[in-house]
Amino acid sequence: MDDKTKNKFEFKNYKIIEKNEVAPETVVFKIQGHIKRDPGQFFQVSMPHLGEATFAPCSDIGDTKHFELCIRCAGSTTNQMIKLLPGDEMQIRGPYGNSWPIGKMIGKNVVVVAGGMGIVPLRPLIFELARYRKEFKNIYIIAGFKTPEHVLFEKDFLSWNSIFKYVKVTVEKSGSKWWGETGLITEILEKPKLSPNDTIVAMCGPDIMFKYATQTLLNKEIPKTNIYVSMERRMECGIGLCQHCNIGKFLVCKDGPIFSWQKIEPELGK
Amino acid sequence: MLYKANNHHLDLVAEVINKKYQIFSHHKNGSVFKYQRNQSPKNISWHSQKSILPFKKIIFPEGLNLDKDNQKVALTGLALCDIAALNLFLKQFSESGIIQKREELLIVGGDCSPDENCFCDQFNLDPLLDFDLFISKRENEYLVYSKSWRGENIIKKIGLKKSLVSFNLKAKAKSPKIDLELTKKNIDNRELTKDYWQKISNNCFGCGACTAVCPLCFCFDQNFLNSPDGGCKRCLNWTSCFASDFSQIQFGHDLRPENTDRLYNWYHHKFVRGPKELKSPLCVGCGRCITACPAHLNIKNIISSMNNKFPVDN
Repeated sequence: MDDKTKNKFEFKNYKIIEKNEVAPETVVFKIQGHIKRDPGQFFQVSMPHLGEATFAPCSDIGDTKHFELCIRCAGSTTNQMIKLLPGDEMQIRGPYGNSWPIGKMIGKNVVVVAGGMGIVPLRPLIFELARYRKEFKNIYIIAGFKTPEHVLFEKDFLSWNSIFKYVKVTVEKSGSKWWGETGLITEILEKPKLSPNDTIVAMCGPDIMFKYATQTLLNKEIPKTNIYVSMERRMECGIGLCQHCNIGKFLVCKDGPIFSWQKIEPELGK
Repeated sequence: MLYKANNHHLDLVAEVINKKYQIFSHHKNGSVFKYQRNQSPKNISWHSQKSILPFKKIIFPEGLNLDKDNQKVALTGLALCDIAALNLFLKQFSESGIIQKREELLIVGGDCSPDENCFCDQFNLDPLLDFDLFISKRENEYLVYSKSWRGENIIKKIGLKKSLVSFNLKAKAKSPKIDLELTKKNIDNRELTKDYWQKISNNCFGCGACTAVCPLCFCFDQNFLNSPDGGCKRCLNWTSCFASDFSQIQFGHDLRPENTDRLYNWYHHKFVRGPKELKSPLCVGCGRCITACPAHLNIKNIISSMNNKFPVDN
């Protein structure tokens, strides 16, 4: 009996074909190959000898020849990963987890809220919103970063500006050449008028941003069932076994990573 | 089916098992029992003993090599609590391919002698009692209860005679009643029980001994075992939800920084998340965690006193 091929931890190798430093200590790897997935799902990426880490691919799911991973140094494994060069291979398994509820967004206003690296799992969603633009009502893209230097996918925001009604990028500390807004993301989120029962929100960022941004949205009377967040927790296996990623009674890898605020809020802090 | 057997018959049973499986049973080591491999099929202790570490160290050993092939294993002398725990364990990992499948295991139960820490009688173990053979001692003979075709095949090879005596498997511990539904509701309401968990955690060393000995603690890390020749093997290491890096994310940010968060999470997994995932609490009342705790924390008393403090259906 061949258990080796049956075990769910098996990786496949993919070749890196391009590498770009996009922000301090942050690189985007362009990788050859295709892994069929939905926007918001994630991969487990292994760094032999060292460890494994969890990443959501950040590229358009319509590209069937390449995909992209945006990796920031945030620990021993990612510190080594960003040293990889074009020509090197990456061990990847997945995709895992659920995806953004695009079906529910059809015919509705869509608000995308991204804090820092939170743009990563949202970028494939935005590409879909652009591709099927006519299927949705107004689309609002709101992203926040620390400084202009930290802004990810700047070119994309500039091009989305011509497709969508409302695209705002804000930084906490601005510089002289900064073209966007300055201030906290929650301040930008205050501004647009949103119709409460006709709006779906997709949000990713640090937990602390969820706390304040959801409050802003709830003040606008958007129901908790229409606010979706993508959660980050430590994952070792990605397939519901290791138990590291639980939030209360949910496992982020299996039940998430995307939850409605209605579902996940009572579990936070458990 | 129920059969009767004598010592000689049981030696034959062991020989038959030994042809297909690696046999594990309880071995006395000083004042404690260890669950270890039998090098020969002779002198197997069919009676159950409470080993410090349960069966999990056999089917999910520390440093589990993901590239290895699974061996066929016979786990003998398992008490009802351990049989139930083993079945939950198998259910948890059934799809993963990293531990033995049910058909690669022979599960042989045995009589147990409950101690003061046992509280298996508080759990409904019956639906979890999937085993092959159960060997029970009577005054002058043994009863061998076979519950599967695997068990029947072994009996057939030896040719045991059927027994007509009455036989039923029942949790033997006699412990004070615990309302498991109330336990679940109370634990799930962290706001209500917050101060209670803080008090308990003030006395907890956070050492994770409870998680090491628990047959239903199966949290793991994924690591690489590097060798001097430049190779590396992927392996799974036991970890504990009490470990400081268990809930750590990027930049070392710890999402469960306090011991009270970790202790709460352990109980929440046992009595709230476990039932959601595997349709059963992740506790079978074996009491190993009580024996192992250097701070003398007692899960039975902790649950009971919580329920006494918050008796109303909240």
